[in-house]
Amino acid sequence: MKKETLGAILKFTIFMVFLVCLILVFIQYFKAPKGAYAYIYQDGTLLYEFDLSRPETKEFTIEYQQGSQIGYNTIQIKEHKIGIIEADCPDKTCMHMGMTGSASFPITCLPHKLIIEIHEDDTNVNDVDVITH
Amino acid sequence: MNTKKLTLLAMYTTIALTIFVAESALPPLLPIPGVKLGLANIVTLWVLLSGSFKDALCVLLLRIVLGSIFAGQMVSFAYSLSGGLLCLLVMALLYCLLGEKQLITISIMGAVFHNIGQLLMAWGILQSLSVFIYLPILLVSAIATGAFTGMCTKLTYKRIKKLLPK
Repeated sequence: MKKETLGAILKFTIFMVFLVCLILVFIQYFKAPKGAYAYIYQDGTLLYEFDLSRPETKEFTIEYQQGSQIGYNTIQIKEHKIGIIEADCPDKTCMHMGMTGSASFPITCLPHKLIIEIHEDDTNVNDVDVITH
Repeated sequence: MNTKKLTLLAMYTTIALTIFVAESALPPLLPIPGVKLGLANIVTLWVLLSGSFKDALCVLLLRIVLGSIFAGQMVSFAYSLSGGLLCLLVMALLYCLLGEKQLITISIMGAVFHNIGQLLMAWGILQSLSVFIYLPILLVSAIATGAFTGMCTKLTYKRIKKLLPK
């Protein structure tokens, strides 16, 4: 195949992927269902489950320890939203993600292997180690 | 490896590392993990163009190891490594296939595969399929930032190609 043809095919593919993904991002962002349940996972295990529809305010810290590395994330639940308000990870992306109450994007702290997912209901989560609050 | 080349590669590593550290000090573009300009990739692509795949691999690995130490976290090492290696492999392959005229396409594909590599690593580490929710936004940002770094490389290449030691 000629270089120009291959290049053109690639460019077209990139363009199409860009368009499709852009549309997907918009759908994810604007059509995201309002979530009611927040699930906090660390290292693949479900640690906490919260019902965000309850009007409660809460603040707590999740410790992270692996080998000699220790860290923490302080999580806040306020006005039906959940977010990480303080962390000692170097990139602080989790803090920049702010407070969320929608299921569009999960909040993640990659260095501390923490992930907060929000779902509409609690039907599709079945884990034995659940501490329900 | 002669002294001249050793010095040159050391210099490239220094430049890449400086860009990498400076960029990580900037506030994030979007509050999504993995979205960043990836300016250090300019150096990787540059070394691939002006040197060889082996040179680029040297500079990339050194930059990732030193960069992770300077950033103070070894977890980011795994993400950088998976993204960086996949990116370099794809760029090297496309460079063979497309030649140096389509730098922007090569750079975009590199950025796309960098993010895919990181996402796969995140999936492996977090063991949660929900990281793939980020795929569309990561692809959009990779295409945009890849085009930007590709243009930077192209402009740099045009200007200092003649100055390169043979």
